[in-house]
Amino acid sequence: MKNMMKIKYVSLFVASVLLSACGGSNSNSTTSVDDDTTDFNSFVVGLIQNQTSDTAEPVDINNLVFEFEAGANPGVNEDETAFDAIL
Amino acid sequence: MTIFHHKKNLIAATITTLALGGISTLVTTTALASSHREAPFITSMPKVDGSDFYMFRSYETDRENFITLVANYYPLQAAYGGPNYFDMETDALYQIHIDNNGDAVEDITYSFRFQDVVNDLQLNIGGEQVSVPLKNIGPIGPDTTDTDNVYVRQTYTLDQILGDRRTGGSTAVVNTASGSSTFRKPMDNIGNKSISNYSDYAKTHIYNMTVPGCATAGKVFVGQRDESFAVNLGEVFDLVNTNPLGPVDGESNVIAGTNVLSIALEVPITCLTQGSEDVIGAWTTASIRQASVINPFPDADNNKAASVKGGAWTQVSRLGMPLVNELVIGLKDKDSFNASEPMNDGQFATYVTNPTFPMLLEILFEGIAVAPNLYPRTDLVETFLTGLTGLNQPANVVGSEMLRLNTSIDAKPAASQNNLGALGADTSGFPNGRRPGDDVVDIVLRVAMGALIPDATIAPNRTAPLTDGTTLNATEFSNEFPYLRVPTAGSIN
Repeated sequence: MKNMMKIKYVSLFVASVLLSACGGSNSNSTTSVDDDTTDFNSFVVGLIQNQTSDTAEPVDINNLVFEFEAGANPGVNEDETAFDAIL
Repeated sequence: MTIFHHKKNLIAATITTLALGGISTLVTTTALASSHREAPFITSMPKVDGSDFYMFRSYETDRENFITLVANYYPLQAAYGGPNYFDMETDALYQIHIDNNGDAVEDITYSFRFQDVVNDLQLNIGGEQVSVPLKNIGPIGPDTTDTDNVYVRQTYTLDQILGDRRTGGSTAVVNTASGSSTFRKPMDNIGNKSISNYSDYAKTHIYNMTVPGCATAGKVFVGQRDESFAVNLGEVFDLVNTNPLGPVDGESNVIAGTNVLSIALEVPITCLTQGSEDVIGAWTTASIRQASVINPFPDADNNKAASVKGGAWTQVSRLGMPLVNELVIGLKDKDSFNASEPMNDGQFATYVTNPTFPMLLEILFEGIAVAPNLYPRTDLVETFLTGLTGLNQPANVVGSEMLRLNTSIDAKPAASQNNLGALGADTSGFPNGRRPGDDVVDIVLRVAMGALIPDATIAPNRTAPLTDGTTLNATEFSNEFPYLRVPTAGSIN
């Protein structure tokens, strides 16, 4: 279940990057399903897994509202497995 | 002690005649210290903190047709800082950008990446092979490859990128002698027992380099050097708690004896200029990956580092003209400036046209110091954003902050250089580029209060020979590439 959640958020992130690359806004595009916030952990994982290149542009985060307690364990900010995919 | 306490002296003070040789527009800059820890965010990342940037016609014998570029990073190193000392950041991109047509966009970028080379030195302790805790367990040198006693050293690669820094065509610069695209960085100056003749050892790390598309070889060196800036730093930031009308060498250079890491290039002039335009602009940047995750369980045996970094390269340090982000840009915008590109410098224009620093001096020395009453400060605009008409302004300039050099002006040997640069009738120096011996602190102090504004009613303090009380000149530096001094040793024995 946790892995599925991560895949969902990473997929959303990739979609947002593609939107941004096509001239669309990345504002609130890496959001969770239920609101306009962005799961911080998944966002970071997505950056590292999908944006690590010498030619990529940094992602503008000014219009993102990060949610630090969402993701695999909503309401819990102690998810020690949040970054296992990249460690 | 107060500034300007001898008002009569201030009014009567003479200043070296401004002889900017054909310059029709006057210039001034404002600031007091270079770019050491100048912005809030960069203080957390000293390895990528660009502190000084130099660009000048080489004045080494027989190298008059070359440009030397030096970018200093990782300032204020205490030489004894073992066992890890001061390696460059491996997860960073250090770059020097050249704009050779005045459009505020990089045309050539020299891009450096660093790598750790680990030799897991172990000793047999009671039958067990155990890794040692030190960076070296025996002498290093005298040759470049004499590193068998070293646990971890660094190499680097250098690419030349034509066009956009991210998407332009990138080609490796190679060692002319070996053809290798990997260069060695010398170990830091640990001390005489580890490296018996550091000067000679470091020189073995100066490489002739073959630059793509450039018929003549250049030079490259990256390594530790002695801090090349001089400033009475503590007093300056203590509300200018010094006498700026005192002797130019009357105070202590508090950063003397610290070290920096220098990235130095020497490139033929013809490989940097474009067409008939003699003026080039340059600046240095450092970028790190956008994301970083701390590993709670580092595991060297399984190649699990203390952190994982990824994402796009994201610029965190920018330096062209000295002192701009230090004392021109408002505190709230310093991080933004470090992340910015020259093409977007319009956002910072007010800091240049309406500078706060001269007024701060007026406030600090009420009734004595008087900020120039000239708004917008068109002199500052030329200095910071366009270059000076007739000296170092490109024909089709787009306003943007960078260090600009007219490459057609001959270099002067060290003994003939005036450390006040153009203020001292030496147009081969700052603000036409910047040489190690240019005393930019004294220069900018004087011009900040109007030294280059001809009308004394607008700039009453224009003739004040202001100084921070520390000085430097070209004879204190080497006459050979990379010019900056051998670093202070970590051990005094």
